Amino acid sequence: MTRLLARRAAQGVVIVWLVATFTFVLIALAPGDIVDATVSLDRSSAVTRAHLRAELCLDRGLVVRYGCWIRSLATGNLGWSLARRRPVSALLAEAIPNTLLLMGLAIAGSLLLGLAAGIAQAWRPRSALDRGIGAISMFFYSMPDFWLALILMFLFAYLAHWFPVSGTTDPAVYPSLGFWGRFGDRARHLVLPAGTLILLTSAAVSRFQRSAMLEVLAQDFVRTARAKGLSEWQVLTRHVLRNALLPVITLLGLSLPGLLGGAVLVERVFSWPGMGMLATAAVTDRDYPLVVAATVVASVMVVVGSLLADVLYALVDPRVRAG
Amino acid sequence: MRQPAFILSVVLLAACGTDRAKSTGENGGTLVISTPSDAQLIFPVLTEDATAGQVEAQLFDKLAEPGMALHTNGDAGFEPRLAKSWSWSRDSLSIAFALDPRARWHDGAPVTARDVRFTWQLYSDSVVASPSRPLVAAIDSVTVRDSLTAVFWFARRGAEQFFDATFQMRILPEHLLASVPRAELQSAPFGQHPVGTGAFKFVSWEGRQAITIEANPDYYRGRPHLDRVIWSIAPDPQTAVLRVLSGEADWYEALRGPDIAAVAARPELQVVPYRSMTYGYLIWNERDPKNPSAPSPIFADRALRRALTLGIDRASLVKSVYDTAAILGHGPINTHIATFDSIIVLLPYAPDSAKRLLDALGWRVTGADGMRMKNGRTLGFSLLVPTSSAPRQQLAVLIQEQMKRLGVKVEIEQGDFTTVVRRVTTRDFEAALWGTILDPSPAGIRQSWTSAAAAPGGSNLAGYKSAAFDAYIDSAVHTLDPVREKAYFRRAYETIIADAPAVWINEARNFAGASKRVHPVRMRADAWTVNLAEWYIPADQRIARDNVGSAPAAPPAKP
Repeated sequence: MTRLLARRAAQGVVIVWLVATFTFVLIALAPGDIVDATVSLDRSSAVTRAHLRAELCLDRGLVVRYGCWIRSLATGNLGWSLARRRPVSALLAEAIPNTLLLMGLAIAGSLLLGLAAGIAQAWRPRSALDRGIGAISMFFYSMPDFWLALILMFLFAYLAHWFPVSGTTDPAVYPSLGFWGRFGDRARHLVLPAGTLILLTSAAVSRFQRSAMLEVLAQDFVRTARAKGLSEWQVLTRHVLRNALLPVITLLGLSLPGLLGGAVLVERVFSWPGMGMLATAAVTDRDYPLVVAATVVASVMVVVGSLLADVLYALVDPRVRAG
Repeated sequence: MRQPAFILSVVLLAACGTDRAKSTGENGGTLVISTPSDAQLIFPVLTEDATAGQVEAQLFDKLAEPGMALHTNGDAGFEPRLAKSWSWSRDSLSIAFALDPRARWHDGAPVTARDVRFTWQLYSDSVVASPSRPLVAAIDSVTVRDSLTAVFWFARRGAEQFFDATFQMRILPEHLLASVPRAELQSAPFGQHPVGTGAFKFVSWEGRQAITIEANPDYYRGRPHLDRVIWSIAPDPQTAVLRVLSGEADWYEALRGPDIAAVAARPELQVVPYRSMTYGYLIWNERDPKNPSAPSPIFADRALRRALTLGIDRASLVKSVYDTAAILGHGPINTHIATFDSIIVLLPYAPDSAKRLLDALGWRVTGADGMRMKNGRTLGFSLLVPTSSAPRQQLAVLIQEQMKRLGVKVEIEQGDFTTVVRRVTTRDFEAALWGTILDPSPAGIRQSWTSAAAAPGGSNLAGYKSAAFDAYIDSAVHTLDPVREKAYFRRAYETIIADAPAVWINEARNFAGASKRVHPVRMRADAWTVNLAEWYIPADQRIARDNVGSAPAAPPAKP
């Protein structure tokens, strides 16, 4: 088990480095640079722009720029964001908790909803309930994330005024609220972005869960459990569900990159100040220290997610633990 | 008006406070501005983005502000701010500003002439590399006569000495910044927690979410009406508009297309038109993009540029693409610049004349495709447009069609915003759709169109050179007589329009979407938030968020 984790962790480090380097090269080769994107041509002199380029190594060759970046990275310095005039590490420190909160809620919510839907479908296969949940799952599964986000925003924020349009808090009232008021304000702001991600991801979970449950239901030990006189609910929850969880854990591990990708657009639509929104703004501004740092963080999150899936897999399945 | 031969004391202008007195007389309310862009840094000497500029205008005062007419010649129309009065030296080479003794920094320290001198030192320091540094180059030095008098010295007389001394710089606190190494100002905590002298005080900046300021009850010109102003940031423009439509925000500054109708249809909202300093144009590159040291084989020819300009129906372009959101362009200027002259006439739309002129230049239609050729070369060019601008993409298609009718082939090249900026600023283009935001100074035209600015790295992107134009501009910026200044500028405008280095397509009109609770006052064309301290929300129209976090009320200071 330990060897497995150590091997995966080492692979993860190599993957993160490759992703970061590849991103750096792509950004460096793209036309235009951050000075063009952020400094006004009408108000700044050519000397000022040249000074900024020299300061950021932008006037040097690709190899030297890469060397500048690696040197900074080795000293724990992720760089300076010219577009936002702040250290990249400070920007990431603001964004990561917001993304983790949104994604954590999305993962937990989609797992609960997806498992419940999958169990309900497997409980009465080919029934009206199964077909109804299946159709709803397919509807959300096939819907583009940004489109669902816009529809939910239109329905529940613009028309019904049930939830706020965007942001993490209401800046006009939040500072004056007490603990529970602030908790409620944050929760209201989480509903639409988290709800979008939950609907999208739980659709996949439920479909996987249903298939896995039906497969396990056909096995001999289930018949034995029923023969012992256990209720259908006990059979489903104690015997079938545990054995049917393996594919879902795999799915969650594999869907982390997709969830991150989805979060980029959902964060953008709901102005959720997480990693996705930060990364898209950085790409637009050619803010390459921030783009590369955001990519490194995203790849770390994916690697850690996969590692977590491996651990869960090992915990649930003794065959994996045995190696 | 300025009289250079005499020492004059300038009387206090009544503008500060009169509008306040006329309004409801009640203070309170929260204005939530929905904006798609966050500030970079709230530090006037270093920033130039729009949101930071709006916040800084509330936190930091200038010595004086131009009036609504935006006159920049001499001191006519300027309204006192930190300077309660000023006087000119006999030779007009210095201006002494007497500071308002009631002015205080938000931390309670008095504002002194040393702060003014320190501010100029920051703006002109090459290490600080302020984007406004070239704009204060006319100031030779700033000295301290006494604790409340700062003297600006100039090497030569000019029409905009007063403008240069007051407009570009927001006064910064020496006692908080002197100990910070100049090279480290960018990363100084001050940029995240600014301390100013303005009508509002900084409260908080939640990165990429909101910037909050509150009324300064001790403001030396009287407390502002609003309790708080919050810039609520939503990077997606559509989401930013939705915040106003759903009532979460009170103001969105740049409505476009269908959003104008959506706001107008809501009984609780209003569309507020206001002036803009932006103009858009089609620019011809007079240098060869492949070999910038050589003239363009097409656009170096003045007669050809004029012919192409005659073939473009600007009125239909503006009507089709912008409808009421823009008016026809008037040259390298717009209608809010003080030297604008309505008698200036642009080249008309005259397609038949354009065709005859092209024929006379030897560009004739020879083939079945209807395209013009000369010496085996087809008359045509590529037109560069950014994908980020839907109106410019629409303009490009319409121009392509109009040029086709002339027998000129246009290929539309699209690029993302950064790429287009890079290519245009390095003059790697044949023609491009471009826009400029003017500041109130008519002398700003030097940066975009004079021969000096055509050098590599300069901002004369067309590479346009005209000795006559340069001479008129030079005369205009150095005359002290506003009438002669305007006459020189008119001749300069007529010269450049006749030379046709660009097709001046449109002047933008701005429309804000706003709650009807909000009563905007005196929105200046170059900076709509500059008089935000005078805006108000009547007491009977306030909602729950208006009553949160009110700053303690204090009686207005006597002017």
